Amino acid sequence: MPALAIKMEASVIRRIEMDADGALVQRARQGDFSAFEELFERHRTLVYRFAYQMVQRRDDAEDLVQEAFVRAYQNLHRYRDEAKFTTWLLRIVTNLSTDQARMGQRRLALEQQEAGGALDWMTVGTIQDPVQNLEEDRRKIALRKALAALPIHHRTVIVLRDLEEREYPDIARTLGCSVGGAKLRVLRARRALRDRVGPLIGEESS
Amino acid sequence: MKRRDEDLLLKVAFGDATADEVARADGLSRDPEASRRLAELRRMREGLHLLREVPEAQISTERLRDALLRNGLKPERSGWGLGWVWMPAGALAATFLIASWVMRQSPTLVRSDAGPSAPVVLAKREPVSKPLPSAAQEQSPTVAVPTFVNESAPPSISSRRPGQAANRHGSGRAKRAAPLPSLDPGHSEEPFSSDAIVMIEPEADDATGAQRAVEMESGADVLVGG
Repeated sequence: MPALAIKMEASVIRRIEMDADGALVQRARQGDFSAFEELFERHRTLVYRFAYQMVQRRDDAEDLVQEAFVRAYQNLHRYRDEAKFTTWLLRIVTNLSTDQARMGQRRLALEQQEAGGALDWMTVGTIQDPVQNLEEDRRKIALRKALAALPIHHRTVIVLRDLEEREYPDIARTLGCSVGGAKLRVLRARRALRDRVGPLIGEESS
Repeated sequence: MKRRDEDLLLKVAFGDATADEVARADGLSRDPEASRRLAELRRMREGLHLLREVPEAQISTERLRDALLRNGLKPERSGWGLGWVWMPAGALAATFLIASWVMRQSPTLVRSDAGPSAPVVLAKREPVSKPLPSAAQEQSPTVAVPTFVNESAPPSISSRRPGQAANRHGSGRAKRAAPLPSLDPGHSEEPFSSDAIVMIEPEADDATGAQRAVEMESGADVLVGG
């Protein structure tokens, strides 16, 4: 019963947030820039977090946030109120980072090499004690690099689900697919990540 | 390990499994390899949670506004909306106010509505809100209850003559400013009653060098004309 109450409360809060965002969008569409500024203030952290996880560099992430909000401002008339504004924003960031990834194939290849090297270092490295290799910071670095080395479509769903903890319906709307499709994509992405970091984590437990 | 079992362990490790799937995973966990794999996946999940920390963003509203301007978008500061509609409407209202103020200030020709022979007099438009003139004021020949005017209508000769006679040698400004008596027979006042009239002679005055002027007690006996 308490779980149900918490669920209902969360749903009510979500509804209120949606209404507030909707009202701000409406005002922004009528030319009230202060309303758009408020939307920016409300959601810039969320968008930045997601962008940072996608590009792994602060400057790039900030550029992505800026570009995402410029696109949002340009396309406010296309926003449909039935979706959450944040979902729509994340969709814009996803598209932007996908475009970036397509254009930066060379950079990605370098990053993959780098990540591969890091994994080699973690598994075959000079440090004697394998448990030491898996200290928190190093595990973070290895995972981050492995994540960065994932193809963009896998990285997107891992970030949305496992880092930002978005609900599946949200992910589905962000990706423009069904909820079942979103679940399947998340599963595949985790599988791909496990294939990259599995050997490392396996050694830790042995 | 079968791929299906691996996927099941992934779901369990990341908390996405249904009750049935959890029960099936419990059955699998008796297998040491499955148990080890589940532990790996749980650690992977924990590791991902560690990645949630991100450096603080330094993107500001000003930066966004600059970016919008660079993209040719003009952020509006006010919340009025439809500003482009208000601007011409405001300009129109301002023009109307200025025009009405100018019209109030400038004198205009008016004609009393007493008939075709009504004299033309100079008067200022009175504001609508101004109270009606008192009876004493109505007696004055200069007031003559002006009505707004058909300016294109030619003034009658009878109305023109006294003014011309009285100010024959005066300047145009003097003509405008001089009070003009009414010759209208239907008018309530006496024509040329007790108001003084100044006759300006063509000869120059010896003392001043200006044209000589003679003040008359009353205009009643003055013959106007050549």
